[in-house]
Amino acid sequence: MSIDGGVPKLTYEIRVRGELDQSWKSYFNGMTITPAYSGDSPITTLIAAVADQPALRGLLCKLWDLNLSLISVRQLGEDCAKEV
Amino acid sequence: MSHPSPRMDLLVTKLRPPPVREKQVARGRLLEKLDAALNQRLTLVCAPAGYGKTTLLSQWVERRAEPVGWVSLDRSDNDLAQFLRYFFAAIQRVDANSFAALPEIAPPPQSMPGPAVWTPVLNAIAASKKEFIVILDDYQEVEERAVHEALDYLIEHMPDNLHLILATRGDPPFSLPRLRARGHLTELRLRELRFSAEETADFLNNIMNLGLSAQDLDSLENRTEGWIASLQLAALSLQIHGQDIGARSEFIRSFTGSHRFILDYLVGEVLEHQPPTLQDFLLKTSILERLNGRLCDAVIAEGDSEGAEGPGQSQAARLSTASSQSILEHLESANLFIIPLDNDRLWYRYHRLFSDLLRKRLMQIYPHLAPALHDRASRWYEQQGLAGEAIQHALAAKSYERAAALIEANIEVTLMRSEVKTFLNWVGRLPDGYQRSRPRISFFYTWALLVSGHSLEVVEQQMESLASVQVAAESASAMHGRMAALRAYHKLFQADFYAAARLCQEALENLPESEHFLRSIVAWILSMARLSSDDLQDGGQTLDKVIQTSQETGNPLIAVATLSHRARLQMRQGRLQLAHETLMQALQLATNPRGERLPIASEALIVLGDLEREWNHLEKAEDYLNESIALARQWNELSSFDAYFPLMRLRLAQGDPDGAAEAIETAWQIAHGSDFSQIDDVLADFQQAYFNILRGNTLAAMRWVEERRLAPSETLKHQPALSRQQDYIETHMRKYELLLLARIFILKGQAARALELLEALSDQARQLERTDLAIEIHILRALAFQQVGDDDRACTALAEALSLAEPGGYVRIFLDEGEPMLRLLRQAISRGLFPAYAAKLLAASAQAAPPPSEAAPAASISQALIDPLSERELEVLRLLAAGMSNPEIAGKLYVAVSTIRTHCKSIYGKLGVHGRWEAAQRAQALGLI
Repeated sequence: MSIDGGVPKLTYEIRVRGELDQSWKSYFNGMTITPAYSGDSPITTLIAAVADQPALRGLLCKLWDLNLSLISVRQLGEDCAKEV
Repeated sequence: MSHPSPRMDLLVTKLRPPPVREKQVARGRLLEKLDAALNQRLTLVCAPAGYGKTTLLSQWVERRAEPVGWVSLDRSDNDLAQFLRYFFAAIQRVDANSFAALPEIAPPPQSMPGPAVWTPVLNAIAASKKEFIVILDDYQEVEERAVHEALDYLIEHMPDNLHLILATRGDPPFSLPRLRARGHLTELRLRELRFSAEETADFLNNIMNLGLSAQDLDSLENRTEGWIASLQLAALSLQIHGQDIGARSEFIRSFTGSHRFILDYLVGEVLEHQPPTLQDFLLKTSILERLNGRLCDAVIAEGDSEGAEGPGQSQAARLSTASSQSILEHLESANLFIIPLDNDRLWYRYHRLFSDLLRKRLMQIYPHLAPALHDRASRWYEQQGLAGEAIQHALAAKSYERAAALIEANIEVTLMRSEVKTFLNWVGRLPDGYQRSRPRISFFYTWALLVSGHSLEVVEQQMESLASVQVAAESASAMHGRMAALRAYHKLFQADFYAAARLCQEALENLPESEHFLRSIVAWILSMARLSSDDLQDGGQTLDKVIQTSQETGNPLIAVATLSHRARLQMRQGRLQLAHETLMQALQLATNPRGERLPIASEALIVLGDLEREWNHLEKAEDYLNESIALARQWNELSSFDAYFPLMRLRLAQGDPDGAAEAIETAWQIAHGSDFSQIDDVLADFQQAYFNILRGNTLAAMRWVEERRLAPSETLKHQPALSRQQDYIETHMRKYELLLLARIFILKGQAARALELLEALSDQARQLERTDLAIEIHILRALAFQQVGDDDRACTALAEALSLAEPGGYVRIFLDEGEPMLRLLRQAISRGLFPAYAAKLLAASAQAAPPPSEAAPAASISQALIDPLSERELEVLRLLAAGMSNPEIAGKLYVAVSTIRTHCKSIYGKLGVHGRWEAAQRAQALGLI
């Protein structure tokens, strides 16, 4: 019954088409946001630590609702986790 | 004590498309494609947010001469009951006349799974001459499987004059490939919905009057890729720059040259150019699901930039924000992504994309303001008496103290409406500490867990922590009383009735008089505990008191459950018409003034379904049972368990053995899904055995006999009042199990053993005044006598059954026995025994005439062999399958053992098997036995 959903256990790398700047950090609860380019088109890499799968789903839904095209979603191992 | 729930009202705003703006891009080709939907079952309008789906559909609806049904879906439509209510309301708007004659839909219908709910509606639609179109907007809000399944079923069975249009952001989980293959599907997808170059030009230059060059149009079209929402925002930005060509060019250049996420860029642009008060307004109201002038006034407080402010507003602030309403109207006319929800302009909402982006900015610019805003919204809703929204906002604000207070104030109201899940959800979002400091919340949370069928472990853990709650001295007694009540409820479910009754007394002694709700629950538990014995008279009187108390306190929950139980008792006594009256009374109590059923109605509906089934009103029974299952699911899954047995028997009566098997399977799953009590497992086994026996599956039935250790010579002990769980199972269930055993004997051709058992049971049934059991016993006796060829005794036994059954009008208890019973009934008529009643029964069986099913009773034969078995061979085969040895069979048929051996060889040959066991299997598979 506790509301603070425990310590984040999973780290995901999500890449979307388009450029999201750092102003999005608070909307996405403190994700790491890194813009990049693939050829000429802008891509943003987001690194998020989530507590569980439902949390991941919620995050993906947020991206979805903004009509951001997903390029890839990848789970990162513990050693690869960047700072949140 | 009960409050009307605003949530139960149908929001008219959901049933109308948003108003169409005057000037809009003409999307002729798309509108034509929608016209083609009239030849189609399902039209899917599928694209992400901001591609003008709702706008397109609103335009299309406006063009049509005939009314079109519309539902704007949101998260609350994940409740199947609510979804169906709105769906039916939408259909009624198309043609109110067709449905006036159907009382089932005229008041808002209740939630039912699967076929039953659609049948009257689809029939009415099919019978009508009109074309029915229903549009469901924002279908992506629906995630509940039950709703998807209901629609899936609808799409499969739609009549030709019904057409469904779904607007959604993502493909719905129906079998789209199948629909495409069959040509039942029309789709409008992103490719078609995005603005084409022509449409972009039309929008920007004609509608928005921007007078852009071809090159500019081109750049914008490329950048936005026809995403309408972004074009709208771009147009707004350009409008702001007015006639300043330089500024406009600059904007277009920066915009098309930037890679920033397009919508973010544009919203930023647009916001930047709004007056500060408007910007403020937009950001702060972005946290609201719906907007209303006064609500916005409350949420906004002039002059706060950072941090939380109290709800009180200064004089000046009040003056300058008194125009929230006018701001909303201004936003609407400025086309700033706000949608009116009604014609009176009372309520609005933002376009989802827009509010998401606003909220993002809010968090960016005023990172700590959101909680204060939610808090103000919460207080406003509280003042309006809308507790649900008030609580949601309080939780969002993390104002846990307030939330807890609100929840506590609304416990009884919520639980009495059986909205247990809602309550659990709220409390689940409170941090532990807040629960503990409010013993009433803790207590009812535990109770809610119990009632919603959570695992014993969870509940017991909860009860332990509950017991350790520190309470002030003066309420220690109340707490003691509550704990006792909780434990009593727990014990009741475990069938430890003695302990339950003891705890009830303790509870009543300790609970203060003011705890009406709990006291009436305790009274009910007590009567349930007493009723577990077969002491019907005493149980009846206790029930009267309970009903009276609960009616006085206005607590329908207990009254309904109690009346339902009383009806069961009345059925046991054979007083079926009286039971029906009682159930009608219960249903009335369980229905609110708007005609909607509370979840507790499921208790009454189960019994009613069984009753109608007994009277052979199979369609009514189907409706009631389906309704009860769906309602019970809202209450807790475990309650729906009881419905599956009458449902199984209904399916068998309908000649649907697969449906019957499915019902048992579901009951099994529920039983195994909950370790709440052992009883349900035993019951499920029992019903499975009954099912097997009816299908002539003796092998499986025999296995059950072994597992339950049913010694045939065991006589029935009269169950002492208030026994423990094991005892309860052993003795209470035993008589039903022994009846099944008698059936097995008959099935195996061991009539003598059956009769012996039945005599003993008969005495007991008489003592216990169990008319229902007595009827069944006499029927089985009649069948047993028939088997050994003693027609006289068979008819006498049948006559006894008929005599007991006639007052109540029993039907299925006879018809379920199949062909052998029909033969007996004909004999009874020819002997002048209850000729009218028997004739009525025979007539009923002729009517039902279910299609020949696999569940052929042992007496009938279906031959699928090239070289069919002779009568004699079939006889031998039956005895063989029943487990008899060759000498036993020989003895039974008065022939030599060698004869039997010959028969066996022939049988094996014809069946293509090599031994007895194989022969039995093969015979069953072929439906020979």
